[in-house]
Amino acid sequence: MVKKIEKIRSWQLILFSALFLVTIFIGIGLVRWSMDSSARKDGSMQEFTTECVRFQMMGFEYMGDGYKYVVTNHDPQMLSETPQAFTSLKFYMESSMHPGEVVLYYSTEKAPGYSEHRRLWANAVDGEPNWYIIETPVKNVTALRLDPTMYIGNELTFGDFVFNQEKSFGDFFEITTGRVYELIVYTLLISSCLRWLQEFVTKKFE
Amino acid sequence: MLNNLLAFAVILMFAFGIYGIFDIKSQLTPVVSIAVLVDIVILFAMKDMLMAGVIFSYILAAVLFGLAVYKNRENLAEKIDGFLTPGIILFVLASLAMWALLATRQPMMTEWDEFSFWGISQKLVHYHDQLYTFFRSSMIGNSTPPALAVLSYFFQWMNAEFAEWMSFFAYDVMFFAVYCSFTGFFERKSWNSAVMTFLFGFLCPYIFEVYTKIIYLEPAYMITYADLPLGIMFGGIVAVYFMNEHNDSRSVLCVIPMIMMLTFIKDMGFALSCIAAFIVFFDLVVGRKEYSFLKIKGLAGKIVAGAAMVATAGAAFFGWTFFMARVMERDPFALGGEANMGMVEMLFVGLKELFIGPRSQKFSDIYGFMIKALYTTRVSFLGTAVQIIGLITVIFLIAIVLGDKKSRLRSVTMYITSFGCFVAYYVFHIFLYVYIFKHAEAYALASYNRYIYPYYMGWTCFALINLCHTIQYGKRRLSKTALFALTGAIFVMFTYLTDYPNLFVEASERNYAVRESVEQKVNYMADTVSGDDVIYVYSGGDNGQRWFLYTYLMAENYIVEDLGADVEGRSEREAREVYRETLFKRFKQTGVTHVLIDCSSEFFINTFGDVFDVPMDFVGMDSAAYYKVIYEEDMFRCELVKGGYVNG
Repeated sequence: MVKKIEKIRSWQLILFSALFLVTIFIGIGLVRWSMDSSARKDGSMQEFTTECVRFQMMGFEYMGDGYKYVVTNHDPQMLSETPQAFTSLKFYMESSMHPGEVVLYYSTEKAPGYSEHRRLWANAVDGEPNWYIIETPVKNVTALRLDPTMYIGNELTFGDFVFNQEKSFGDFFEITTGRVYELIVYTLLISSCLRWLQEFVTKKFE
Repeated sequence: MLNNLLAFAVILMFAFGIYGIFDIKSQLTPVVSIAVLVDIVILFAMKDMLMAGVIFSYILAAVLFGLAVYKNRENLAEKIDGFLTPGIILFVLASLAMWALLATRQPMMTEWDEFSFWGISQKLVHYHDQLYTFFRSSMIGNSTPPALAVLSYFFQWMNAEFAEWMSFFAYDVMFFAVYCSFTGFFERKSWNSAVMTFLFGFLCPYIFEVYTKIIYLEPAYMITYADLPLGIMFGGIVAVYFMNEHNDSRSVLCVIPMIMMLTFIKDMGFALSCIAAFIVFFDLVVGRKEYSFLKIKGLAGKIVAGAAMVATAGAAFFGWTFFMARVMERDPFALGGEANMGMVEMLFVGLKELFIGPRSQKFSDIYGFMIKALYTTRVSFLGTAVQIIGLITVIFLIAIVLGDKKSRLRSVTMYITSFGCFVAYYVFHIFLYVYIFKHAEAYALASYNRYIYPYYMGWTCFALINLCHTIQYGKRRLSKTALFALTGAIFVMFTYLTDYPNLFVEASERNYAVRESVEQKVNYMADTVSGDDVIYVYSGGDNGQRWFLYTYLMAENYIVEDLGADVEGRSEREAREVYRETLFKRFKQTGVTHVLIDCSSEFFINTFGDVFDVPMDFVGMDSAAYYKVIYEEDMFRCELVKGGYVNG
């Protein structure tokens, strides 16, 4: 046994670690995909489109003209306190100035209230001006709070709010920079530890 | 973008050159190369030949590379194989991965002083192809030495536009080169130790920049501040000396260009350079029996080596000081600040007050705060200074207990010298706060962490280096396990405390909200602003950040500082008069040609409203106005050039 372990080459350890990680990544994707599709199947999560009136709006003043609002307070908030399974929110918002940080807070049954550690950032959608998207793996949330801008006096015109848009199978296996970082760092880390184990078992420390 | 890779290749060529010709361990060569190349460019730049310096350094690297190849032409394959140690492979891999990431994400600068100095200086140097001492700009603090601006220039001088992410890349390559030097004891068969050491280095900035679970961007590898370069270079100097096992001139000569570069990073680099030289000198005395420097043997050789290091630091520091005095007509010895003292004077007065007394109220207060800060202020995610010093002590202890007889003595010596130097460094900062800082800033110990952690960072690296030495020469099984456990524990903490969106990993545009709102206004006015305009920027309710952003984004213009006047105890009407007079004088003095309103305010409207032909009351977050200044006998008028909503 020890002889066999001694024979394992370092490049084999590194390759093994990398393949192991890739397997894990695929596994995570599969789990997320199955959670997403089962939540859609049993009806706890649905795709639906709505308007800003679904939210309780604090710190805004209605200006008429469709859904046009002006911000009157330093911390404008849009609350939605319906429990649901949540995975994404895509919405349309015209802003008279740079909106600053656009964030979504969520609270869950276990962790009520809003905290900076349960915050999701909105990103502008490429190629679709004034559309923002917020995404996360499926979560059972009890309430959502959207902070659409940071500035008083900002005039916002809202359009559609699309919740939980359907994702394709491939979307669950997207290669993000985070994944690449993990692949590099964790491969090195895991293979180094395996090599240490090998040294430990064969009692030959290099 | 090719310029980045070319510069990186130049560094590698130079590294291979010194490896092939002088037989220096390959892991040590990248950081020595960066130091030599940057030093050369700085010397050229001080003669106002910046670009020529870079070209010269590129050619030099190519020549050295050619010589090394020629010298080793018989066993070239073997030599190249020897060059590719795990450290070098990690250095190249990390640099290229970082380059790919930065090039796709193109992150921008986010921190305050990047717009007031560290970033804007690099931008100006890029566009002028000159050091910032040679031209007038709205940048403050152009007395700071130029190593970092030169380093960033080295990586992108061929490009027409200045790119911020390329500056980050330049810094990161330097950091990775230092981490590479930490792996100096590890050959290919001990590659896993090299990985862990390199990883420890990589985590080092986070140990001292993350204090608790982070919620905002932690820009460690995407920032142009000088604190990380100071700390990491400081650690690198001792590493390059310690890992270099030639008992002749080579081990100190490799360090000398690094000392020079460290001194050229920031004023405090001089202190750190002297400390590094001090630590190296004592290790020479204790750790190297058969040592000769420039063929001088024994203690004399060691003393000459030590003197050479200190002389280099001194020459760089005073060279820069006199250079500035000549180019900018400044008093070379004034430190400025509250008491307006020279540096030597400050040391004497400070030491007298510390040891003999009598102590002023400010001295005893600050002294008390600084001592208390040691065990109350968090400087790391591991805790306060006490915990950090504890950790460093534990690593040194492991190295000492598990080391062989010779390395034991060296580790004990380095622990004592680095501890003593820490005390000196800390006391020096007490003096700075007492004598140089203004009252409010001194009492708040402004930027305390940023000033102190370079030392902790370097010191932690010293401990790591000693541990590596023990792995190589002492009880390997246990000490190697200790390294793995230590790095592993820190990695776990780091992973728990940080989230990818807050690191360089997934950094995106959301971190640039304030910056983009200013940028929008600058773009709106771009067609009316010419490079010769001298602009007074008014931004109501701004804490200075927006103002600095304007100076940065409109770097080719001269931006006049915001209005400040002493109106204490005056009535509202008198105050108004004082403000008006002050501003008028300032305008005439600095030759202001235009006024830019970023955001009006009640105060500004009440005080200056009447001089604007079109009222600027409307200007808020979503708009901007640009006025031309027309001088009259005792006041000026402002005529609107362009104004309105900036978004469409």
